[in-house]
This record gives sequence, C-alpha cells and structure tokens, in this order.
Amino acid sequence: MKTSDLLNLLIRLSNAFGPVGYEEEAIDVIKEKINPFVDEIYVDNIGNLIAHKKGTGKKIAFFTHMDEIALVISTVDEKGFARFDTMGGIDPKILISQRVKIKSRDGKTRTGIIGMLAPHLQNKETRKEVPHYDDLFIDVSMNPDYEKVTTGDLAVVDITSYMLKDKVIGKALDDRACCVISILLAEQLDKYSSVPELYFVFTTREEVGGLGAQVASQTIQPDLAVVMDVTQDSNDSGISMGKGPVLGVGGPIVHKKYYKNLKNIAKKKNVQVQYEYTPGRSGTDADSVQIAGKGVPTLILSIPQKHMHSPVEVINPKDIEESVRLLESFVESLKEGETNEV
Amino acid sequence: MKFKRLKKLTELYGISGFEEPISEFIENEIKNIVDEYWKDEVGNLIAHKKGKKSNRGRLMLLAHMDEVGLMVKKINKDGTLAITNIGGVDPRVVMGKKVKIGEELKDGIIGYKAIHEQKREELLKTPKYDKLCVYAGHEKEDDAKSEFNVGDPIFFDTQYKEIGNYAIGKAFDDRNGCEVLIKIIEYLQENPVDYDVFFAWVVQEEVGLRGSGVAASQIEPDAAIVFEGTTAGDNPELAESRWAAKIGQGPVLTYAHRGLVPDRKIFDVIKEAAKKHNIPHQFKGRTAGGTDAARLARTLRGIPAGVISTSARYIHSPMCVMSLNDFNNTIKLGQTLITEGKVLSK
Amino acid sequence: MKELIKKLTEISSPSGREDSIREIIISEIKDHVDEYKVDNLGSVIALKKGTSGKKILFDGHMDEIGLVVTNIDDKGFLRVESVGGVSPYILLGSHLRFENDVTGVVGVESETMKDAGKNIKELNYDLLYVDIGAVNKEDAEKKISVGTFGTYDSRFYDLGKRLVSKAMDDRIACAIMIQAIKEIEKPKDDIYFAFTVQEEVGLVGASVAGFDIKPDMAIALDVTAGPDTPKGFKRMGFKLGGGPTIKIKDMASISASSVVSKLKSVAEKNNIPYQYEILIFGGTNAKGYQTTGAGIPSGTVSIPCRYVHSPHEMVDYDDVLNSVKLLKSVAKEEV
Repeated sequence: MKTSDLLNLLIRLSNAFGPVGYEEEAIDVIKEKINPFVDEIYVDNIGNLIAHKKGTGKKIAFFTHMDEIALVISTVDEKGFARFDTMGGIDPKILISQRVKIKSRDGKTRTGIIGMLAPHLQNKETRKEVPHYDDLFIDVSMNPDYEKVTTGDLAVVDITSYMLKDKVIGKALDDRACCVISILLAEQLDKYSSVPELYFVFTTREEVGGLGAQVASQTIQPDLAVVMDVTQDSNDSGISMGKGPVLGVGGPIVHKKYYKNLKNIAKKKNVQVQYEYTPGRSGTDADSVQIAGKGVPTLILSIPQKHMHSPVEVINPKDIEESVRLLESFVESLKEGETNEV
Repeated sequence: MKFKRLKKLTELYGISGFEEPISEFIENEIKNIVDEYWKDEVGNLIAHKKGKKSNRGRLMLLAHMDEVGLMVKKINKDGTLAITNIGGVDPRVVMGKKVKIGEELKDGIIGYKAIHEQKREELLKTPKYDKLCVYAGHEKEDDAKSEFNVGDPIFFDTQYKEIGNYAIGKAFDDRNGCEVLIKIIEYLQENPVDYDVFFAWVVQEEVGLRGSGVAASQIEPDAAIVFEGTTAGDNPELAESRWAAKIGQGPVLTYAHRGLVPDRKIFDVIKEAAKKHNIPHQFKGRTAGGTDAARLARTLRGIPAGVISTSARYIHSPMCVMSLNDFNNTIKLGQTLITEGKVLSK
Repeated sequence: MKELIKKLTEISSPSGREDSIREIIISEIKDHVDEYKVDNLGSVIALKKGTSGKKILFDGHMDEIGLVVTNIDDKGFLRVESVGGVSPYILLGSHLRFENDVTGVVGVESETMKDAGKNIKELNYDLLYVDIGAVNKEDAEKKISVGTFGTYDSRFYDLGKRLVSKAMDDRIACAIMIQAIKEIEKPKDDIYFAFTVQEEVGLVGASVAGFDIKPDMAIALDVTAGPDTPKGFKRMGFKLGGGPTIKIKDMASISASSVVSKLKSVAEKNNIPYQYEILIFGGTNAKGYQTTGAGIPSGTVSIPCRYVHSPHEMVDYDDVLNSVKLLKSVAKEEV
C-alpha cells in the first residue's frame, strides 16, 4: 500500500462511527480493505471481526481493537437536554464545548452541543471546578425533531480526521491506527507463497475491559498472539511518536522468548523500536488474551500516540509503516519454525 | 532445620511473570515420583499422579509459585532505577532493604532521604512509588542502561530462618503451599489412592488470579483444593475481633472470601476431617482477599474448591513469620483429605 | 403470583448458602419442565423443549446479599462482614436472621458522645456488632458459630400496585421465570432457565452456567435502580411502573445490539410496555454469558426497583406481570 493510501485508510477509519458494541461502520471499512488478502472473514458471536488467512504450521493471531470510546444518551427531558453516560474512559474536560454526532435508534444522525455556562454567570468557586458527567448535558434542542433523541442513542465527538504536517489527527485512532497495521500486514504477507495460519482479529469491547478479545482468544487458541494498541507519547517514559513501534517488556504478560525474537528481528532489520515496561495489567486486550482457555503466549506491540482518548489523538504514520515492516519479518521467521533466538 | 526444602523454595526469586526458577526447582523434586508432568504456555507446572482405578474422578491441588515484588519502570538520569510494584506491595515495606535485580540477580538497595533531610510532616507520610528508586551502584543513566533494562524484575532478598517452632522469611505466600503439594506427592508414593490427583503450581496469582484458570482448563478437574499462604493479623495494634487468623492455631479454613463463597460441602468435608483427626484448625476471621478458588469457580463448568491456608504475619513484605506447627498441620490435613477422598465424592 | 413472590423473597438464603431457595425453586418448577439439573456450583438449570433447534437462556440469580459471622467476643457479641454489597448504614439498626433461625440486631460502638457522632459519620464494619441476645461467649456459641451466614430479616408487604420485600433482588426474577415456566406452552426454541448462584459476590454462577448449553442468546433478568424518587439519579430516566427495561449498558456490560433489537421488536409486537435503561453503576449476569466459550450474545431485562440492597426493596406489580408477558412472547418466536 502506498503511503497516500495508508493515510486515506487511516482517516477513513478514524471517521467511521463505531462505539463499543456498535462497530458496524468500522467493520465495513476493514472488511473491504482486508478482504483481498484473506481466505475467510466473519463476525463472531460477541461482535469481533475475524479475518483468517490459511497457512501451515503455527497459528498466529494479531489483535487490534476497532471499538471507540463514546457517549450514550441516558435520558432526555422535554426541552431537549439530554443526560448521558460514557462507554470507555472519557475525561469530562475534553467534552466541554464540543459538538457531538448522535446516531439515534431510528437510524438518523442528529447534532448535539455540550455547552459551558458563560463566565458572566459563574462565580469564583464554580470557575475552578471541572463539571462531572452528572453536571454536564448534551443540548439537542436545536434539532427540529429533537424529541426523537432517546435513551440508548449513541454519540461521539463530531470531528473529521485530517493531516497536520506529517501527522494524522482524529478520534478513534486508538486503536484504529493499529487496525491499519493488521490490514497492511495482511497485504504484505499475501505476497508470500507460504505463511503460518494467520488470524487478524479486530476486537469489540476493548474499551470496557477486553471481553471481545477474551472470546476470540478462547475460540482461536492461537500458538502466539500479538496484541497491538496505542501507548502514550510522554516525556516521563521517554516514548515518542516517530521513533518506531514500542515493544512491551517484562512483567507477567509478555512472553519472554518470543519477545527476544521480536527484539532481535528489529535489530536485524534495522527497525528502530522503543520499550515499555508491562506491569501486572497492561491495560490492553493482552490481559485477557494471554489467559484465555489453555493459555496463549502473548506479545504486546504499541505505537505512540498523543492525547489518547480525545477527539484530537495524534499518530505518526511512520510508526505504522515500521510496525508492519517489523511484523512481516517476524512472521517470516516464525514460518521458518524459528522459535529459538535469532 | 525442620524444613530444608521450604527454605530453598522461599529463598528462590520469583515474582509474578518470573516463576521459572520455582517451577524448575519443583520439577526436579517431583519428576521421578509422578506419572506425568508438563509446563504449559503461561508457565504453570502441572503434575499427575494416577489413581489405582480409572474413572474415580479428578482432584486438583493448587498452589501459586509467584511472590509479590517490584519492577524497573525507567532508568533515571542519575543512574538509579525507577520502580513500580508487581502485586500488592506497600511502599512502606521496601525502604531500607536489599533487593536483587533482573534474572541475573544483581544487587541493589532501596533507600530513602535521610531523616535529617525530611520535614516533620514527611517523616510520617507514606511515599508514593514515584519517590522511591533502586540504587545499584551507578551514577549515570548510560552506566545503568548497560546493566539493566526497563521491565527487569526486582526481588526481595531475605534469608529463611527457623527459630524454635517459627520460621521467618519471605514468600510464605505461597511457597508454603508449593511445599505442601510436594509433600502430598511424596505421601501418595506410600499411600496411593483410587482416584487421579493433579497438582498445579500456578503463575500470576498475585496480579489477579491469572494462572489457575489456564491450568484448570487443561486438567478439567471435578473438584479442587487451594493451598494458600494467608495473612494473620494477630498483632497488638489490631483489635482481636478484626484478626484474620492467629499463627499457631492451625491451618485456616475459609468459609467466604472476595469473589466467592467456596463450596459449602467441600468446606464441611475439610472441617470434619480436621475435627475427626484432631488437627488444630481455625476459621479465617476476615473475608477480604481472594484466592485462585474464585477463578476456578468461573472456569469451564465451574470447579468447586476448598481453601486451606497456612497463616503468616506481615505477608506481602520481605519479612514474614509463620508457625511451623501450623505448616505441619496443613500438610497433615492435606494428606488426611487425600486419603479420605471425600472432597471428590461431594 | 403475589403469594409466590412472598414465598421466594421471605426465605433467607444468601450467596453460597442457596440450599433453601434452591429447594423451593425445584419444587415449583419440577412438574412444568422437561428436565432440570443442579450444576457443579449449585445453580438450577431447567429446560423447556422447543422445536426450532435453537436455544435461548433466561437467567435470574437466586442468591441474595447477606452477612457472615467472623468473630464472637467474650461478651457474646458478634462481628460480621458482608456477602455481596451490604451498606453499613442500612445494616445499622436492622434485624438479621441467621441459618438455624437465630436472630439479632445491629448496633454501633461508641464510648463517648463525640465517638457516637464520628462513628455514624464514618460508619464501617469495624464499628458494627450484632447482638443475638447472648449473655456471654459461651451462650453465644451455643446458638451460633463463626462462619454462619445470615440475611436481613424482613417481611413481604403488598401495597397493592407496589410490592416491598427484602431480596426482590433477584427473587423477583426467579418468580417471573417460575411463572413463565408454568405458563409457556410449546415454545419455539429450547428454553433454558438458569437460577444461578453467587451473583452478588461477582457473577459466579452465570460465568459457567452456559458452558455446555451454548445458547444462541442469553437474557439475564435482574432488578435495576428505581430513579423516579425525590431527587433521584438525574442521569437515569426510567421509572417504576413504566414496564420492564431493556438494558443498553451498565458498568459490567454493554448488551448485544442484536438482543436489544430482538427484545424491542417482541415488546412492540405484543404491546408490552418497555423502557430503555442506562444504569450508571452496577452489573448483571449478562457479562458472565458474554464471555462464555465462543461468546453468547447477551443482554438484560430489568425490573425497576427502589431501595435495592436494603431490607425493603420495592417493585411495581405491573412491571412484574409485563416481564412474564415479555418472556412468554419471546418464547413464541425463534431467536
């Protein structure tokens, strides 16, 4: 895939509407793009999209999640002020003064505004405080048919993904950026005459605790799982965008031997990588993937991101391309049956 | 020394995710006295003693190999190592201690600002892990980086010691359970039973009961007994009514804990066996804290389990105390239950 | 049906000690189902056979919140800890019933008036004790031992449209399921009714009840909040008497969209009032089914209930009857 195609895909996926448990739009895009490179593609009982490429030898599964954090309308009053709950972790600060896109259960899209009382009407005390969800509301009264907005309608911040210099900005790049890695990887691996048994699992419900990944891991029981998610670009950890994929290291979850293999392959192929310690819980699908069924050797690969869980998440596409390059060689090494150090 | 192997087991270094030294040690101890054994994808060690008769059921005995500890989070500019905890470790127990770092067990220490440098308020305030670090003899970031990596495990470094009827040391939670399982295998050599007994030394209990479900999925047992190290709490600063257990009063039986009320019939079988054979025992006085029994209940078709613990004071720290009489009685109770076989015939 | 609700809610049978409620449920359903069994953990799973080859499972948990005795002191006072979520504030001053029908009342420590104020403000289990009328430890130990389970001791009240009792959570679902079992004739799908154990300590029974059945859909029946009270939770809009709710989400799970739309269409087709529910806390057994095996599309139908986890939980009788109707209507269709 050319870089320009990659960028288009990333932007398209970011724009797709896909709150936790309602990922249909994202599914459509991923399906269309990965279909040429796999043998079968299906949505499982819990809503994971699974693309399977037949091969020989080890069963390798790549996990990325396609759900995004969102709001859900919990009640609406007669004047058109809607209360809401969150699906996934959302900072109330980033919600203030946003326009949101509401998909109603009647299939229509409507607009809402999360407003802020003007400073004139605030006092010293209230100015210091960030209103909690309990004190925030979505104003839907501007819609001529606002009474059609009902409990259970889903909403995301209304932003269109775009390029800022060489970076991509948008919502839901956590973790659709990694979905792009899986699609590109499938494309690359399609060029080989023989590959291991490959599963590209696009999971649902990661943002509410990894339920989707647990089910997929239980069902597929791969010999190796590579879980891909975004991680914080932060001064504290020293992890930054544009410096390549981040390998999860240490701790109970990451498989030590496969980790060494991956690290060595990065060196051999001159892929610049970064490292991130993984404590008892990684906060990714890996937590449930590893201990599903009879247990699954698991690796974590992340790409750095700024402003996670906001409408202006930032991704450097170079990290995506480098991740694909690394994983392609990694899969190649597994195909050759190399589980020992390379 | 009454329990030489327990000494070895507790002195081995194995925090959650780094249990290999423990499983290797146990493997060596049991490999010639079990019918089969294997290590699974997440590092659990599983062994099988076949019953004299087939189809008499499958009992699983379980103990966890991991202990709590720390991990290198970042290598600081001044060559020290920033740390985070693996499993529940109170930052107040790590200061002024020696530690071992990495799988190569390099030496380090965890200090804290001298008392002279602290303000009165700071003296009695629990520092966060952000304020703690390991010093391993390096003054520069690059020097430290040549020796250590982000993600390296950090272990408590405590020698086991027996004093009279007590033992002091680290990792009694749950290496004592690991030893109980080995003792039961040895006992079965002399006293075989009709049914199949599986032994699982599992990983990652301390970070969320993560190993036991994986082990049980391979064994598919009909019932299980979890051997744990539990907290005692019998100290003068805590009202007696709030103690979880008292060391020296025998194995601790659990009627309820976090995330599960363990199977009533198995609980009764254990209680009756202890009574009948005059094995001192006590009931856990608190319901806080869970064990792998909670994971087993949620695995496959639901595996009913009982929980038997040896209590120790000050667990999840580098310095714990337990009663060797309790430990002996736990072993005795375990062996008794195996011979009775009633845990299965519920 | 009120008699059935009274019978089911008044029995004292907390998580892990479901023996007495299990007995009642089995006696109620055994003549109306094709088969039933008690699983490894003690859940009762009954089947009404259908013809479509498809399977649907209804779940209601039969346990209730409770307490367990952890200590008996020299004067014969008990200390207890909760089994499931029991607020110390609601516990204080309440009447308890233990296994073997020992009863007791709950008091709070305070050595000074200053303590008395402070302890109420910062109430916790360390400050509470249970008085069973024993004069000393020996006397108490004749009546009760450490490890004995108990529950609130309270009665069923029929207020006409509204019903009050302890353990409406979740015996009301047990009652609805039993009633449906009695009334459903010739269901389309195989219908499994799981009366599960230990929901209150963490969805234990439901995590495994669907393992062998592998139903095509699982629906948990549970109580939800009743926010239409003075200054009730403003972020939730459903109400008592507005019909059973179709859950969209709570803290534990997001209902499968397929289950939500199925329930909606069945309710609309049969003119059964329903409400959509977003619960901003809590969770139900639906989560246990969602992650079973290859995953089971799961959701929750809730009965709005005020004062949940208190000795006096209130539901609306019409919501109960409409829930029975909803189950029966689902049974008429294929999944």
